[in-house]
Amino acid sequence: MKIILRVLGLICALALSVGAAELPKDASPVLVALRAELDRSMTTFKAQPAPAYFLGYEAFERHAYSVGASFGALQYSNESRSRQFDIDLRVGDYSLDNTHPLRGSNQTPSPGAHALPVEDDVAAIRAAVWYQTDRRYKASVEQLDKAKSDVQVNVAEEDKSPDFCAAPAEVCIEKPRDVTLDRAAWEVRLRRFTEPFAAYGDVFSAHASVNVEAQTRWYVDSGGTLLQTTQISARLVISASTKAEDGMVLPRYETWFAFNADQLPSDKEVLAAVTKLIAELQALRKAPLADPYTGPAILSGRAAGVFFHEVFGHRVEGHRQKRAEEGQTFKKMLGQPVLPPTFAVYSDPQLDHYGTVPLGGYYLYDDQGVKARRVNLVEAGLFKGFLMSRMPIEGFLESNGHGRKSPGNAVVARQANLIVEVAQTVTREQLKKDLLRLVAEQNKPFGLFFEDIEGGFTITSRTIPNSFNVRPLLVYRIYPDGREELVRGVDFIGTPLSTFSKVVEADDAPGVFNGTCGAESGWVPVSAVSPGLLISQVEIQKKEKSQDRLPLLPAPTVPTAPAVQATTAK
Amino acid sequence: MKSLSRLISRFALAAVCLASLLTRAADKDVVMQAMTDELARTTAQLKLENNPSPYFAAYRVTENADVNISASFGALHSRDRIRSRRRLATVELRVGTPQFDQTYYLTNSANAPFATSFSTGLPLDDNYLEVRRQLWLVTDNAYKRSTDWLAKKKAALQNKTRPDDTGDYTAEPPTQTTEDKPGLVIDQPAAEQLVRELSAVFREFPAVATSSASLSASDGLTRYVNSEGTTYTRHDSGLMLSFLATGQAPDGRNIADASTVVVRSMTELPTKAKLLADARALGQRITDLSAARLPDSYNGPVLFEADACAEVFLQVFVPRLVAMKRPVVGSQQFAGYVSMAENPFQDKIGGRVLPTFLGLTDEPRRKDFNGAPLFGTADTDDEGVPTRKVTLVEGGRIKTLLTDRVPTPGLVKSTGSRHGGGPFPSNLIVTASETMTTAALRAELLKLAQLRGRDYGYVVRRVTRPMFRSLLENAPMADRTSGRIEPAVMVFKLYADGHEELVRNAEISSLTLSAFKDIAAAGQDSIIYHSPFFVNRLAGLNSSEMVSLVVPSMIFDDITIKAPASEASRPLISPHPFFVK
Repeated sequence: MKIILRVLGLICALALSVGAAELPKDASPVLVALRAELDRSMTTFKAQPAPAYFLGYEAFERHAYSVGASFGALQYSNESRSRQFDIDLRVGDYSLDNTHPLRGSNQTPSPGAHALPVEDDVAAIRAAVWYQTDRRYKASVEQLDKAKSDVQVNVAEEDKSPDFCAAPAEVCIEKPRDVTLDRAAWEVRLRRFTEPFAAYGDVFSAHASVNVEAQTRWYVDSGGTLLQTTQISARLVISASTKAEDGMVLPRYETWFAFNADQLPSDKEVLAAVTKLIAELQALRKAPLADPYTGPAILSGRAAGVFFHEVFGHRVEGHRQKRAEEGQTFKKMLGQPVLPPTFAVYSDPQLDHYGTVPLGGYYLYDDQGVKARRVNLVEAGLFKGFLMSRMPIEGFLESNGHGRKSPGNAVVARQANLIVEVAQTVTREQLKKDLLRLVAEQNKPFGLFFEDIEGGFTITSRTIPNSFNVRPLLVYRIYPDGREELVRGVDFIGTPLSTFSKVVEADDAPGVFNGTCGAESGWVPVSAVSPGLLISQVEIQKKEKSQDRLPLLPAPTVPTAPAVQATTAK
Repeated sequence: MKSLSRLISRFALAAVCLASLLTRAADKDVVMQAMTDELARTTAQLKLENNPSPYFAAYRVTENADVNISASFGALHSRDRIRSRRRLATVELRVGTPQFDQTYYLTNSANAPFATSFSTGLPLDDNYLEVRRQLWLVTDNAYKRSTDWLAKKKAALQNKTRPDDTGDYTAEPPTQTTEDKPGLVIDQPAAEQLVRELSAVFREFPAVATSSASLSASDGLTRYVNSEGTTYTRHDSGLMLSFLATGQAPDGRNIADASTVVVRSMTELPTKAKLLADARALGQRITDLSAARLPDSYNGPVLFEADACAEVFLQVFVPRLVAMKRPVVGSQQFAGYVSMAENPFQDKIGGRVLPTFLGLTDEPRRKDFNGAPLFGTADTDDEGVPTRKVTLVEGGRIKTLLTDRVPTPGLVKSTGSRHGGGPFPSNLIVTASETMTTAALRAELLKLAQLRGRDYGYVVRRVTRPMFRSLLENAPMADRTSGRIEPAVMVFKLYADGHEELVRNAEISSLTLSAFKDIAAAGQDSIIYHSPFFVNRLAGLNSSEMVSLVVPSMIFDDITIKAPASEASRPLISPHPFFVK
């Protein structure tokens, strides 16, 4: 697989320190203001009875366009520009500071983002930063006292690693970039993309949206790091839903991600996807309801990517190995087999494409100013390590550039581009043959094929069973005679170690999932890449469904719908 | 200094008419046509087997175009050059009969508010089919829920008697009203510059820790059609300019104040020189308050000057001027909740609620007071019922309450006051048959204070508006039982020699409804006070609109003023960076 690493016009260096007077030429007034207030604040708060030992500011400017349409009619068309900033202020020391997790509290505190002027007025920016830093310092002192008490009154912690680690100072100043979108043209396009759904009275929602934004990020900390980067993203989403006679809501989606609106797909490609979605919705309405089942199954590449993100990725996020309330599935499995020996899994935020497909989890520096880097999580089927922010865990005392958050939230270790690669693969055709072989061996009436998964959730705490539930959107039964039958009403459930032990082989058709993932960090863009997988045994349960019956009256004045073709698995 | 009229003359060059972004209701109104056609289908065909069809249905589509600009310390906070536009459709359905329908039923079922309204977003395009599609779906859901609640409400009354026998909905003759007004014109670059300049004023005040100036403009169009033949279109537009500032006293106690201007158009704004002076006055108030002392504990007469008096009326008295129907309670756990929301004036019609020299009217048809515009003005209410002047209090006695088409014991006819989820005030005019000059009022305050052995009385000039309470840290919530209102901002001790001494962080309590009966005197200085007002009813029936209140200064006889009991924050550790030399 050819991997393309994007080269940007950056001035990047490892720096020992950069003084306020030495800010690089292209540094924005925002960076100037943040740096000036950082220097002043550190002088002030270092001199307090509870001295600050670290201060970091991260500011975001979001210039965003969003246009949405439904059933051929425009719903909204907006452009906005706003700025926010976050503060990471630490009192105490690296070993014990105000961010120390308190036992019995499952919540990672979300301090909340603060508004910043969008105009480059250093005095106005400094005024906002000064006031909020004062408040944060006082809150941090209170929090440190609580942390000290937690350590004293409870039993010794299993993980005695420090609360924070140092990181090399980085300097990276990218020339500011902005984005424009021809909203009028997109309004026309989105009407065109959603208009075909209006011919179907049993399609109850049909929406298309395009969101294009430039996010400029400024980061400065007391360790000498100074960053100014811009990331441009464009997402096109088509979503629609229908309802079966028994009230079950049946959604379908198609999404595209790009680093520029011009790289989003052509009308022809999108309209073809719309036609396919309509056909799938019509087929789903008539599809039989699936019963609970255990047996062999295939996950398509995209579905397997989502599966790995939910089931594996969240369990290797470093901070989950530290909290006493977490299940810590993989904490003691270093060097042990977790997948077949042909499997490798890694997270690489520096990858901006996989093949020709753009990856939304791309970034160069994380939200703690640490340079992003590839982390090998599984090599030759053996578990190798965790995704790390600057919160150390036992045995992993440094960040590997995976500290992430959305504005207003606390940084935790998060996935970026999670990639599953398999050394020996088979064709999709062979994978299906092997599925049917397992069906025969297990004496099952059929196997399952999960073509698309919308997402799901996974429970990583130890207070309730450490399980996952992913929500398939398109599932087929594959019978021994090769016949494929679409079914509905399925949730894919299980526990991670048990399911991983049943992964048999992979195909040669990697799929890419680009989405956003919410956790303690807030929503961050992520990607997951995987080949299709054969699993010898999965478990499905009935999906929760609405009890509302279909509308009593037919849709108002609906034109005659053209005939649709039946949909089949690929 | 550039005058505002010159500023406004420039608007013509780059003016954007917010209203032009709205679909003005016209003869060929696609949205209204879609509403009418889908309503006809709903009333003729919507029926679940073995259940009644709706006996009443109404569609309301509101369309708004908004501009919001804010700045602090001379720099804009957001730059949204696109007006935020939205369309919202609301369907109101009634199933059963006017005597007994599904409304006003309260249960713990997850999906059972007792409101009649269901809402959905509509496209911005005048797409006939899509408007109908969305109305169809929201109506279907509303009908199924309403039918279910009707059955449950009947079940809840199987073994009980409902004391309220006034029915659930009253009859009104159909009306047809069309309003056509020019849209709100905003020159956004000029408005941004104005807000930027106003926010920069606070660079002159080292005592001000945080500050902002903001301008919010909204242009709205409402279309309404119901199954009885009532239709209306109504335009509402307005613009609010606000300045906020906070500071800190040496003991760390938070100081905050705000100033607002409400107008119908940019041309009605005061001159820029006047606005800059207002902003400077706010900065000076924060400076003065930061250096002021805390109040002594005091109980006695208090003079509320007109602005403060208006706020006191709005916070304590006005919420009780609207009728409230008691719902049928399906679950006992809500019984206490319902009684908390009851209106004590409901059982007090004819009783005295103010001193005999005071009266109060609600005048929705009145457009101005002494030439100054009023903001509650409307020809019809949200149900299409013609509005009218309502005498609420006469000779100190409460004559009636504001009502909509939901009858309550003793109040079975709509006063044309429905706005939002229920009856709502419009333009409230307080009149006094006996008044005093300002000097006489102050002398009266001192006289009453002296009777209590005090050598000073308190004068309250400004009270925090509820919408700005978030500026105040650790301030206790207003509380009806103890009569605690939002914290006062500008409070003075008035001494016999006429000199005033400013105090800060004054908390005012004992301002219960009964305190209004003991108002001792009123001034000749009536002012107009405009404010967003909120009526907190039971779930789903709240209302929030702009009201205007005309009120003079008044002396309340027995009010408690004291310093706050809550902890103060630690003072700011480092000085404001802008003022560091």
